[in-house]
Amino acid sequence: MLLQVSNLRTYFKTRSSLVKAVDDISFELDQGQTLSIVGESGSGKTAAALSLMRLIPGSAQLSGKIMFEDQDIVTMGRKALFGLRGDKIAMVFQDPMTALNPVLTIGEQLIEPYLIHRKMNRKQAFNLGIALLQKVRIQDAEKRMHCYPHELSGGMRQRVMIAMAIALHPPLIIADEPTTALDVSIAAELLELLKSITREQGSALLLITHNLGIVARYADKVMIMYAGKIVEKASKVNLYQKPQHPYTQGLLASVPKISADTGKKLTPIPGNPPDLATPPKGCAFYDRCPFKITQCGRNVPKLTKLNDDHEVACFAKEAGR
Amino acid sequence: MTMQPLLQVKAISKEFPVYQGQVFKKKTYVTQAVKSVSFDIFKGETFGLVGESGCGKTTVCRAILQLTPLTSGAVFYKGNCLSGMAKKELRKVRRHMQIVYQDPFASLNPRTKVRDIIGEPLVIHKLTQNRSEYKDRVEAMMTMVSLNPAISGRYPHEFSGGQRQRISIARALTVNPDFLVLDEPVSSLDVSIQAQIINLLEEIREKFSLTYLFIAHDLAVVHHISKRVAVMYAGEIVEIADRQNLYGNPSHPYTKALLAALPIPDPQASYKDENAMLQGGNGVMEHHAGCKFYVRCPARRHLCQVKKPVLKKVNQHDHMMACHLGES
Repeated sequence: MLLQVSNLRTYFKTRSSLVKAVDDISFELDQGQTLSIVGESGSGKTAAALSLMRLIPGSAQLSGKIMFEDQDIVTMGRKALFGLRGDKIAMVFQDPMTALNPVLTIGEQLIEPYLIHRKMNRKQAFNLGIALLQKVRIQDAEKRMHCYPHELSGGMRQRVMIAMAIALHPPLIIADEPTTALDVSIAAELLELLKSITREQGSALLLITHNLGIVARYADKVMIMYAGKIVEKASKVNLYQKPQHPYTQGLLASVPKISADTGKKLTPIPGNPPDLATPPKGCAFYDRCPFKITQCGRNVPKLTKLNDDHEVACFAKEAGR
Repeated sequence: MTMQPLLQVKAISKEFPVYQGQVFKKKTYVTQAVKSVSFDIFKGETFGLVGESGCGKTTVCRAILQLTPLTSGAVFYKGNCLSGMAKKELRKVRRHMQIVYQDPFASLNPRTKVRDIIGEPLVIHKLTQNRSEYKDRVEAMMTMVSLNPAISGRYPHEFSGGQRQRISIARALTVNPDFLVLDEPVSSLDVSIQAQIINLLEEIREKFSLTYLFIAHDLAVVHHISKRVAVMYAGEIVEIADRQNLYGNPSHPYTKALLAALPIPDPQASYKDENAMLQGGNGVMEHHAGCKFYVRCPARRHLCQVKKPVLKKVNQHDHMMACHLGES
């Protein structure tokens, strides 16, 4: 087991309320595996990812356990944490326009992991940097090392982000919506690249996305998040073939498919996601759920095992709907 | 089709000059955002326009509504030429052509109440006689897009993305238009909300027999809503066909690549066209005489570099494409 997260909670205090961005989630990730977190905006997927590296503001309340290679990240000291970030766990952020420092050249930023974690001299690091850019298929790598981020296109910048993440062969790479800001053809190429590099290095990949198509193509296991909680957790094939939670079913039905009959209406999920500052008492999906029973409005359902690789949090399901 | 099209776009081009220089800015070259784009839209249909960011989709829709002056070409609405029309006349025509913008966070005035955002077109076109008529109309519009009229006194920031897009749609519909330009209306929304808005748009089209120009980069969404689809690349239309033909039998290498790159929400889906995957960014705009897609094209040959392909029929179904493929 590479990563074991148990009862992770990330709460943010606002002036008037406590926002439970991540509320009691548990999951595991094996070496070399690709786990996908799927959810809509505001469902807590990014907050969960940032919590894993403790990149959340100090004012946030973090509790639970994040066991990574037998160390608990939640209670880890600052120094150990710095040693971990970039070396053991690396991150590819969503927006390559803002994640890179605009006043430093690509080269400067790219060789940072080597200088900090490996204590290399600049010359050595620079050469390794060129190799990295070549690995992510950037042409004229040496010339590009001296470019500033604004001189590169969005796709190129995201390649640089990937290069930075893979620099030290980390056992875990977290990719937070890595291709959302990019065009389809470039997104496909980048995901292929990310997948082949992680496979080659044996890194595990935590792929955060809202695109169910990307999940179907690249993930091994999938977790569906809704309002800070995991509502369904399954292997990819199980999730797509036998979706159990009404929210998962709703998501899959809302996506327009090219193979589908045209002229048929989409089946959207009615309503809007709840405001996390004033969460409902029972199940967060209660208002939008077509299968709700009385119990759903009162208590919060817990994840229960259906079989070895399928868990769902739904009372209606338990009651045998 | 012998029918008179509702909207005719005839060889429109738009150039943006690029100025460079430290003190005295000099016009160094021009960027061709849109180059000789032509298409017709017939009454009651949804015409989809697909392409990657920067390919000129938005410029085309701004040009159609005369929100930006054209470099050349003309746009005809119900047979009347819009380019060069007097302002007063144009305003009358514009009542029938409305637009829904991409970003519902930027396109609604944050300091105006929802009621007045939706009602403003009524004031501009002087369509209501008194306050109560105005109020009734706004409330009817809000009900139609499934917003509670009781919250008409709120400001845009109090609404979610999906609700804001509903407000944008209501605003476009208050003046009873015939033609609606939808510029990426769902791309900033979450999947479950996106489906709500797509269904709403389809209901409205049927109810008021509207005609849509639907612009998007998501091929699956365009497939769902459109009758005919045009694919744009670097300011030009490279393929245009009805939906079945374009998706079932894509001809242009770029269309093929786009379809191959589209992730399918089914783990068992097969990706047969792996080699259609594109290499390189879209930023490469070399100034050679040939095809703009040359540098990224998997099927390129020498002819493509020297001779520009023109849009021509590939079969009897009005399926057009601009590519040298299949030529000797």
